[in-house]
Amino acid sequence: MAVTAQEAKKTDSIIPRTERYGLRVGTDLYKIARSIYDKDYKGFEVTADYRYSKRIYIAGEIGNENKTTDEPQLNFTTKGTYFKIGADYNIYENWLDMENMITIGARYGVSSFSQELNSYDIYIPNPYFPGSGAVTTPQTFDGLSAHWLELVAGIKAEIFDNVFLGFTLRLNRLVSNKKPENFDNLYIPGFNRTYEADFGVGFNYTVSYFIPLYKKKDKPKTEEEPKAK
Amino acid sequence: MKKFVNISIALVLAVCFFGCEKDDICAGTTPTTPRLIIDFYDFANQSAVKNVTNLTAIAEGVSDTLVFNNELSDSTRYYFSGNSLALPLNVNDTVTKYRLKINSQSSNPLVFNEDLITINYRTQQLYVSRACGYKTIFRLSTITEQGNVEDQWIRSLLIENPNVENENDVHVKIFF
Repeated sequence: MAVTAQEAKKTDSIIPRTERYGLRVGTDLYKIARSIYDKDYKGFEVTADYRYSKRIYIAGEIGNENKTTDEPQLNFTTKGTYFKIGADYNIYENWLDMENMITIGARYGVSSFSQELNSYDIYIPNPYFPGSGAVTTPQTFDGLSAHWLELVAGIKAEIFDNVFLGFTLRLNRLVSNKKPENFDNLYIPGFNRTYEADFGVGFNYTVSYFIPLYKKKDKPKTEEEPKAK
Repeated sequence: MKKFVNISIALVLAVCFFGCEKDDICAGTTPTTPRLIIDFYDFANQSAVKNVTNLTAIAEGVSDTLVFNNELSDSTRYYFSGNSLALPLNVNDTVTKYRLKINSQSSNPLVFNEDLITINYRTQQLYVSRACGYKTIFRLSTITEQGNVEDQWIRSLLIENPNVENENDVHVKIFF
């Protein structure tokens, strides 16, 4: 068994691997599924990456969200579009001609959106007067925007020829945040829920299709010169 | 391949962890809608604070007497004794009227008496946080009293600070 493996490795180092380069386009399954089961959410995201070198992929996402958030004291609807661009680095060493990926990467995200405050409550710590402090006159705040950075960890596995299932986890940090007057950006499309600190988290489950554009031979790992075919 | 599976599982578990955030609760220490702070002074010596005894307060249009001490269950929960009183203002209106009665526990009709004070103000809603929503702050315009001239206990009223934005400031002084 060990001998066979060693022999296989030897063969592998002699014949250079052919790596495929191309563009992969996909969509976030979670946003599609949530749009179906959650009546307060409509969202869609298109993902894409382009293989730049053996390990580096230029990657990005573009999406749109319409989400109504119901908090005990507030109810608001966020609508907007976002765009993220960056790169992924594949740390996974594949066997033979497999093309699975474990990636770490980064994105710069930009979102343009509006907040509609549907209703809110006046917080009264010691209520005495009858009737609540609920205000139900909707207010719209347009022209809002946010910029942020994301650290991305992800996996992609080829399940059929050229079809990949992927998952990424993201740690976000706001760089700039244009807030509405007398309200706050409690949800930002693409960034998700905001916290008192400027951090946030996100994830996606993607299905994507790889469009091969060209092939390139990988450099041999041994110091020997590869035999000419 | 094993490494690939392990990292996949770790990532999925990480999402579950982030998904389980606790609900936000409006902390009692967060300044929200303030009450009107009234300090009591001696009419004869206007720089000296003076304590009221067993004061009760009931707002017009409200059937219940204002509770000053939630921890008590008997009628003493409605009594306030001291020199600095906090009265809630109605956020859904621009006027709040209170009937203030002192020495409420006394059975001697010559000792207890009741005055009606009228507080006029403007309101403004300010955003606080996700958990607390909004608060109302007030700007006082006038404060007046009505009562039977012969048994009024309040001798004069003064707006000390018209901006009711927190409970650290004294907003109104009552001399008696």
